[in-house]
Amino acid sequence: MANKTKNKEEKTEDAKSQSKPFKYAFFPGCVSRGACKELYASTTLICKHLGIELVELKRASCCGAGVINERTPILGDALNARNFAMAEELQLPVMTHCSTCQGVMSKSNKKFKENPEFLAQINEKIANENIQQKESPYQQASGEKKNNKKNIDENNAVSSMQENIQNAETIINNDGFHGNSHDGLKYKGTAVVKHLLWILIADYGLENLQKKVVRPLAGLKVAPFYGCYLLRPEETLGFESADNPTSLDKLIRALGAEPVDYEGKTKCCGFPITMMNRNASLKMAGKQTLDAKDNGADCMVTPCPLCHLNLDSMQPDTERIIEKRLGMPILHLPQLIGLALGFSPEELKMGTHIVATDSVIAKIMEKKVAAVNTVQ
Amino acid sequence: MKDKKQEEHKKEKHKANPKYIFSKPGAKDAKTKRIKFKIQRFDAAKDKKEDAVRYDTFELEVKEGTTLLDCLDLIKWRHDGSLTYRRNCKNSICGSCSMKVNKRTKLACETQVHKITETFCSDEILIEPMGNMVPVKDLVVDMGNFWGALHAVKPWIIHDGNFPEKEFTMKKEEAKKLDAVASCIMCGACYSDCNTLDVEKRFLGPAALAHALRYVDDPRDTRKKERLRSLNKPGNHGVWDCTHCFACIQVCPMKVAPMEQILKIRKYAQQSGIIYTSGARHHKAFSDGVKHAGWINEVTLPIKSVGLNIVGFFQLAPVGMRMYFKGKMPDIWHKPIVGAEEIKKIYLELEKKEMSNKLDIKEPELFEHRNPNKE
Amino acid sequence: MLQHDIIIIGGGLAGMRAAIEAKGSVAIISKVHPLRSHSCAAEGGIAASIGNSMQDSWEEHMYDTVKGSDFLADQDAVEYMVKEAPGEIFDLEHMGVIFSRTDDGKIAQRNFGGYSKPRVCYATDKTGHALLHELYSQILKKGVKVYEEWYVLKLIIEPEGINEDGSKQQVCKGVIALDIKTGNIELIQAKAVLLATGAYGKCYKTTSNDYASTGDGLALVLKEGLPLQDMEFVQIHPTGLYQIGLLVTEAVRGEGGYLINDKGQRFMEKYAPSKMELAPRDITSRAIESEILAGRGIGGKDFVYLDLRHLGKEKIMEKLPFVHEMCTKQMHIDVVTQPIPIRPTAHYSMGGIPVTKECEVLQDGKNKVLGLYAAGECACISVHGANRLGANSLLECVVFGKRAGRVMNLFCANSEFEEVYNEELLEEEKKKIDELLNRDGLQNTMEKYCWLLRDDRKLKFALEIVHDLQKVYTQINIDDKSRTFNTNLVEVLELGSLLKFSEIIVLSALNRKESRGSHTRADFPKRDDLKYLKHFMISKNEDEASSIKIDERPVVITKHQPEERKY
Repeated sequence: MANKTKNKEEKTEDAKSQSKPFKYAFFPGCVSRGACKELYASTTLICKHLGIELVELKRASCCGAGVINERTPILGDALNARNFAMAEELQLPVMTHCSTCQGVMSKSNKKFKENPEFLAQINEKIANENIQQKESPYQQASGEKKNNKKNIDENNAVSSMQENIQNAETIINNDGFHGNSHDGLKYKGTAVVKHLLWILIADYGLENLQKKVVRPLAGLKVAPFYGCYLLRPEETLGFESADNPTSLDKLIRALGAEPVDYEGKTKCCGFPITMMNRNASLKMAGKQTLDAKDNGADCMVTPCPLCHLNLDSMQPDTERIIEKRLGMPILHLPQLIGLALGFSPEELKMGTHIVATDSVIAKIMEKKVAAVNTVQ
Repeated sequence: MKDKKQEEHKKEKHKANPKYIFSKPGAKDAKTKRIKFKIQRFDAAKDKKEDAVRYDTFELEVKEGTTLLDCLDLIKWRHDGSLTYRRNCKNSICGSCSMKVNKRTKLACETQVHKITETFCSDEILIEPMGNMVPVKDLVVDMGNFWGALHAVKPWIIHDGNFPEKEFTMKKEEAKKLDAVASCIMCGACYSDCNTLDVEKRFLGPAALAHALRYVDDPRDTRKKERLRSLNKPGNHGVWDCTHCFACIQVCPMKVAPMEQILKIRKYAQQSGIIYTSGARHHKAFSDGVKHAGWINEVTLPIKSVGLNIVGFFQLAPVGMRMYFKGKMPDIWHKPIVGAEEIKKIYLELEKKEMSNKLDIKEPELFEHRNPNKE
Repeated sequence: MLQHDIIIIGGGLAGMRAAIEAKGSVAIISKVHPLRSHSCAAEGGIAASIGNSMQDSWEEHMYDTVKGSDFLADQDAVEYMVKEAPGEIFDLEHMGVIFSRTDDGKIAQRNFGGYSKPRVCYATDKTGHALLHELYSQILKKGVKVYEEWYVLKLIIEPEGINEDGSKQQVCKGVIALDIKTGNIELIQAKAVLLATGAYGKCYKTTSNDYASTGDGLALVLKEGLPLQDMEFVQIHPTGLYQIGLLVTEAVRGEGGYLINDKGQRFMEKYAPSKMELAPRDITSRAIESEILAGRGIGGKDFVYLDLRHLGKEKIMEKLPFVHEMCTKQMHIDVVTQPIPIRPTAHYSMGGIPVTKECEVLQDGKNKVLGLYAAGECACISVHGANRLGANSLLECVVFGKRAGRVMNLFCANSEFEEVYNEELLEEEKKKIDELLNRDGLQNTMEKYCWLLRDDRKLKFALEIVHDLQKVYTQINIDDKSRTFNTNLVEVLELGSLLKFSEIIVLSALNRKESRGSHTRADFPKRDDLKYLKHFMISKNEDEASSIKIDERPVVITKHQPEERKY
């Protein structure tokens, strides 16, 4: 009897720590800090507006994108174990805004959760050698792990690089956590990784989002581009049916716009082979874009910055290869949301796109003016 | 007397198993549903053009538990005998009856019709022939290219040297390694849904490449390096044409996970020094970037991937220019993330172990293929 | 005209094994792609006394096989098969077949019903699949011409000279075949033709056989007035999925599954009180059938339950995941919470085309048809006699497939292409491509009247219906009139095959007035070695309606005298 109640208490505590109202460990990934800075800007902007608190994992490394693991076995998994461990310490679920990060991290996480032995081996590798030596005298004393870690941190020389960063400007909430060295971290296997899209649908709720919409995107035909990593394989991602995904469609509808149905919406943008078979890569991007266009889309929206690179930045080359004019504006997911929340295109950095987004902006601004007129 | 004893004995026996009480499954009425089957019809001989397809719709009252193949048979036997499709074993092992069900390739014999209507929230099911292959008639396609690709990877053991008198000895782990691909039934579902084949007909495709791995992994084969080289050669449209879209993993009815096998070939190739491909160069540049700064270097990555290649460089240049003028160009100075040195340590640790072949961790298989070990 | 030294009809295990061995210009003609052949569905394994897990000998393998056959097997053929078995396993392994392994890296072996030793080599639960795919690789490597999706309409057999006993010497000169994809009909000339057309369980409604198992090879032979042998022996497996026929493996009962009738009783205690659900196949089949006949099928229908629920989810998922998966996919039944509806299902046919142990097809008790061979399930060689043991069928396919290949090589080396006299043959076949079907009628008849428990009255009734159906067959219309990929036409042709040999099954069953192995006569429940320890070959002349010819062949007994078959 006593046991049972104890269990219950533990569980509720657990749940509490996981479901702090809309607070996430933000994993920005590489591309949103490099070639798609507009994604970083718009994600942080809308999250702040919606009251979703983000704690950026500043020390987190690249997720590996599946590439690193392929070159050096399990290296990518090791990097992700380290990333997860940081989120675990914060007791926050991880938020990604890149399908590729989501896919790769989900896969690593699944491996860890299903193979505790593998996780233990990886943990040995991410705890650095020089630390291990210092750690050994403490290892016997179990239950003192946290203290133990502090000691290590103190003992460990803090590099000048870290000092620099400590003084660096913080864009969003930082809990000072990133100043500490994370040598000796261990991942317990409890992290949860969610994409911004999933968070908005499953945690935040579309009704709540709808309440914040001040500029309904009525009349705008948006082609949802799900891509690959957020859907397949279903047993790894598991958020929705890979055969018939609906999340983006629902979101688009919640913003007042009209989702466009087309076959290419769950196909590949071609980015992964852009360096290996450029022709095929661009043909793929072209085919999906053309499909959206033929079905009457005003713009496409993608939850993945890599898709954005191939669909937007490469679009002039794609047009040359498929010998057809596309002129299809490609929006990042938070940009589309941002527009509906009333942010200006400049705030959402839409000017950085290769394909001009003017047509989209014109359409929704027009509508807004019309709406205002009718109200008056 | 004897009979009585026997009877008692029987009773005892019955008692000996008191746990078992038979209960009939609840008088649950088998649900039936009126379902529309919209089926693509086409005859290469009659309708010369491939786009001369039409769609016929058949309506059936379908009981729960019915497979798509049952429904097709019913349509063929009761409504339209000219409906054409392949099928044979009815037990997901012969690989005949693959077709597109609401745009996803599935085996008709193991597709529960009610489940499809639930997944797609619609009582109409669209049935089409497999993709990436030439349609012949209705749901039958010409699989010539598919078999051709299989032939191209030489899916047979090449053993130079003498054969043992009895069997080759093969460790259990070695045999187990081959199991995933060995459960492939060559149904063509992966080929049909492959995103690369959609635009690159020369690509060997997931099934053939998975089979290629099986012979690379087979301890009886003595031409591993030769196989790897051929699979990596850019002109052969082998492993580096895979666009990593997971479609083959998603549709494979046997859970062979072809893409995972393709990635293994890439891994083997890089490990055994086949690094002249743009893919291998890209992977090295990618990995190096993360090693030194904790995140990728998007400025140097494309340039390093293209390598010493004038044409490639001229293709890259306009993209860079374009991005530069829009303010989309990543910073030229690749600033390391906080804690980059920790990441470098992990790299050094694992790379060192790997180089000296002392990596003691085995990457777990994520996809349990359908080859249950009945022993 | 198309011409090959050797034509092999059928691309399953026996056919492909023969093709690998055959020399010269070799072609396989198959109505499905070779990888779709039914051989791939074989799960259990392939028997050979390689003795990897226990000292074993071919002599023991032979005894088990002969005993299992209820002493009707020809012992010279059995001896050849079991002696060749180990070498053949190693050959297959060298070709690349992935066998499951022991801890020390050898081919693993497991035990099977009817064997005295663990003798069955296997590749997880997909042994047939593993063999078939590897043989196909060898076909690709060798570059054998495969006429895939071609349907053979007719064997070209014409008399050439006179046999010693005064009968005409028949010679096979090739085949006429339909290219299913284009609708073209071609005559293909050959020096030697091998029939490797496989099973014919599709004449029953409940069968574990696939759609293509329509016994076309048997019908081809019958059309030429040649006999079939031992057709009364059809192995019926106790547990097939109700209405689907797929096998529910014996492992389910091995792990403790219960057979339950409508009253919720474990009825096996009436039929095999000590072994209960683990009794041999034929006893269990008869028990289930008796329950159904007595009206104790579930809800009075023709099935009983195989109940696994008491085993618990954990055990089911650990030991029987494939059963769970099959029931979910095929019937949408969760075996953890629901019992499986099952009934006996037609599984394997011991009889077939009579051949010598060199695989040469016989035209009567003594004389061979020159240039015509048969191997695999369609042939009756006879190594299985009245009842086949598990894992011997794959063995038969590869051993005699290989042998047929070698025998044909020898024959071809010493012979020329024979001229086809009858120039009308091809045209006649083209004309015949207008016939029709009534599939339901035949299957229900065979299952009602020529199933597990047979008697004179039932069989005669079955014969009548089959004759009626044969008449109807000539008048049925085909919906699909096109020439390309006309599966409608192929199904009708297949029905023609079914009707042809089904008649012989019924005739054979009528003729054997005893109960032996898989053949049970309610009116003759005992085995009668005095009258029936022999093979019967039954043929029917096409032109004369009632000209049924019954020939006898002695059973070859070398080592083991018949004894009562007890387990």
